[in-house]
Order: sequence, then structure tokens, then C-alpha cells
Amino acid sequence: MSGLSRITAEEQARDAALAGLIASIPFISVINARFERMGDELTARMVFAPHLVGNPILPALHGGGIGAFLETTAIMQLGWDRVWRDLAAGGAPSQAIAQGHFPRLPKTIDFTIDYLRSGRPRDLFARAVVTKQGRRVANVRVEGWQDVRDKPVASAHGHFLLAEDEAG
Amino acid sequence: MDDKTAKSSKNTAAARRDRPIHQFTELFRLVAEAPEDDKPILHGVPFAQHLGIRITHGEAGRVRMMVPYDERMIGDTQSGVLHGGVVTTLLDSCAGLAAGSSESKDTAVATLDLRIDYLRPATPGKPIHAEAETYRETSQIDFVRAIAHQGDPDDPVATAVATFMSGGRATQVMSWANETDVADKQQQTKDERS
Repeated sequence: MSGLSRITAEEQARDAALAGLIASIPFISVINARFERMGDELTARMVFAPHLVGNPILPALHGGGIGAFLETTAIMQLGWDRVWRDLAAGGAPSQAIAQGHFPRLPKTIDFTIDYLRSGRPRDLFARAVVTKQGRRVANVRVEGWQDVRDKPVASAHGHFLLAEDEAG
Repeated sequence: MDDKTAKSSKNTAAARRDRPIHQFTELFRLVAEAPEDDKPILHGVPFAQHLGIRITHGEAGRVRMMVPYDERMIGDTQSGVLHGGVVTTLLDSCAGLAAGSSESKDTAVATLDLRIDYLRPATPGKPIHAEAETYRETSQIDFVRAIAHQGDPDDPVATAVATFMSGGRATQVMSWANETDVADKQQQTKDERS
């Protein structure tokens, strides 16, 4: 295999793994979320749809939907970090993912959302930063914004219980 | 003839169940009147309606809601457990209504923050219930606590605390009507006139 085709295959495996990870969370399609990958970093987008509205008079996005989107972004980032490591490790972990066997998703322990601005009826973006990744627990911050990155609509942080490492 | 009778009885039912409600007290009366197995869906709050959230009990500052189990809402196909976002939406809606309906208010509220502790995974296949209570109310801020459980409030799935800012203008009072309701109401008025 030439160097170029090896790299192409690697990228294809990553994209396929991301698609598989998304498919393992059916709720993602309920909130119309998409994930764009730049290397190991994910940017999430909640594509506006009328069913995401909470207050039709203002109108504004539903706070629960915003919270759900931020929590999903955090879980996806942690899940993706783990998949990324498994793919990089090669061997059995990488093969398992190629066959569609993903490591267990992290479980939310607690999640706190600060609502800073009313969510306008348009797309919402989010990025998660893993503040601290321990062996069993990760602390994650997520920020969601619409037009201007410096004017977040909501900011959240939470603790997540990481899956027991079956692969060691 | 039969057609007309059927239509007018439908309109009576529609008028009772789906008319626009601008006062929480009126909403709560409707909730109390509804049969146990057919409590009102949150019309007028599209995302809550999309999730199938129903109000099961309401009084000033205290609200109960429920969301049925739905496979589309699963957060992890390996476990079948509903996504945390479903619980978040249920608790936010329930706490928000408890805040908005608290003693001296009848307004829309905006969530300032919401913290949720997930105590145990929800059992797949079973609905999730929420109970919210406004425990402190000031002129501008409401403090609410809420729990989510699956039948036994002493064994909650999640607990939450939330703060809300109140004081939406009167015109911004949450409307429980949706377009269908308004259309129904217009049709009903037309029928009454003819």
C-alpha cells in the first residue's frame, strides 16, 4: 500500500467510525444534530427545525433541547476521543471498531447548564473541551453559540463516568 | 346530518381539550379534568410536544409531568436507556412551569441555570415522571427543585435544581395554543354563528 492510499484509508476509517458512533445514539436525530470532524476535534451543529422551538411567541429554542444538545456534544467528544485512541492503537481495539463494536459510551453523572441568551430560531453550534480526563471520571465544558462565537447562548459543564476499560 | 352531529361533538371535545389557554390556572383545571390515561400534551411548546411530554398535575408552584418511553429517544443503543437530554427537557419544562405558575406570577420564565444529577440509569421501556416545586420565590427570581422517577418518587432517576428569571411581558405569557387549536376555535365560532 502506498503512503497516500494508507493515509486515505486511515481517514476513511475515522469517518466511518464517527458515523458508527453517531448511529449508536438515536436521540441525535431527534435534535437534528450533526458533527463535523477536524482531526480529533468535533464541532456540533443543531440544525434548526420548527420542532426544536420552546417558545413560539418570542420565538426561542427550547432550553431542554439546548441542554440536550450540549450534553450530547460532551458525550460525543468523550466517545470520539476514546475511538480515536483505539484506532491509533491499532490491533484488536481498532479492529473491533472497524467491525462496529464500539466501547461503551460514558454515562452522565451531573450536568449543569447556564443559559446566557435566548436561542434564536436558527442553527446552534457547540464545542466541548475535556477539562480533566481521569481514569474513571472526566470533567467536560461545552459552549453553544449562534452568530457570534464570543456571545455564547449557553455554557455547560458536567462529570461523566467513563466505561470500565474492557480492553485494558 | 350524522356528519354534522359528529363534527359538532368533535368541536365540543376540541373546545374542552385544545382551546388556547393563557392562564396557568385554566391549564391546571384542564389537567385536573382530563382522565388519568389521557393528560394534555404540551401544545404550544413544540419541542416538549415532539417528545410527547404530558402534564399530569398542576397547582401554583407545583407541577408534575411525564414522558413516555420512545425508541427514537434512546441515548445508547447498547443499553436502550433514554438519552439524558430527554430527562433534561422534561425537568426543564416541569420546573419552568412550576416557576411560572408560582403564587404571585402568571408569566413566561427564562431558565438561568439547571443542574441535573443522574442518580441511576432509567429503566428502558418505562415512562419517566417529573415533579417540580418552587421552594423560594422573589420578585424576579424563582428557585425550583425537581426530581425524575419511574413510579417511585423515593427512588429517583435524577434530581435537579434550577433558577428562573420571571417577568415576561403579559403578551409573552406562554400560550398553550398551537395553530391547530386556533383553527379549531375559529371553526367552532363559525359553526356557532351558522
